[in-house]
Amino acid sequence: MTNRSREPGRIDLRAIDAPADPLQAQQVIAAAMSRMAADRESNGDVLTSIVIYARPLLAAAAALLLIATGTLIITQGRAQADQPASVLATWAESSHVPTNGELLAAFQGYDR
Amino acid sequence: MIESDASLVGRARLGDTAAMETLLRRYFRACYVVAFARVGNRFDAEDVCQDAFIRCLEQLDECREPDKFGAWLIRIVRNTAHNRGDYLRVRSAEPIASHLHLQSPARTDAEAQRNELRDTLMRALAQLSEVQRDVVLLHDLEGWRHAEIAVHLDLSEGMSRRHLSDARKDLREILGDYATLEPDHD
Repeated sequence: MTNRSREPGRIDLRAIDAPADPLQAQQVIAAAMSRMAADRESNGDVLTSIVIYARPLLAAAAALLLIATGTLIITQGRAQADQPASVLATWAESSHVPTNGELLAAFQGYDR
Repeated sequence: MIESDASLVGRARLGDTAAMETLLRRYFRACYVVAFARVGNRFDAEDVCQDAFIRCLEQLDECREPDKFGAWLIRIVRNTAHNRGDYLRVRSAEPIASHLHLQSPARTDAEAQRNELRDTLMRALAQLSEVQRDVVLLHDLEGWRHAEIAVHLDLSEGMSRRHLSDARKDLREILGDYATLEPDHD
């Protein structure tokens, strides 16, 4: 493809550039290959950083999730215990006769 | 036996650097000429090639027709040259090398003549369309045949001949006595 033999009809354009130089190709290709290798290495560093920090981040996220779930369960349990139906059931099981004050306390805010 | 582009692309995709180098070496000169046609000097053309080669290697998985790797690579070179905006400079190209060192008077005369001829040719080439410039440089400077040009520039052979004929006609008109011509047989 790089045969420069003089062929009839062609315009002599050789003055615009040096002839094909194997060293030129070698230098440009080597520079491109080494730049690409450097890019890949730096991308590798980013991946390594992600891998290094991924474990502690995942552990922290799991701990937060555990704490949040526990808090939710406890809060829900307390809210249920304060419900009038739950108080009445406790009285019925223990055959307790509530006083007026206990009744008012149990049903306070019932109409909400 | 020469390994096909498709086979080399397959190996290059698996990370074979020798295959990558073979592919780039195979098309270096065509890429260089296409870049040169747009940026107008050797140094910028080499930079364009280097950037285009990196893009090509990074996007090798996107080459849908590995057997037409050359055409795909040349498209990347063209786009890279356009993105740099350097192709416009071809209209005012001035050889950097001529300003780099002091020369003897005799050598200066010879080099001055050569530089003048080169500038004249570059200005004449700048008057052509990009595809005409690619075709005439690949054919008349690099010695490619129309079949090769057609494959690598995504043209028919007929269009390649047409572009060459038009480019030569325009260059003869622009260059006048500068154009060194011989009868056409290709």
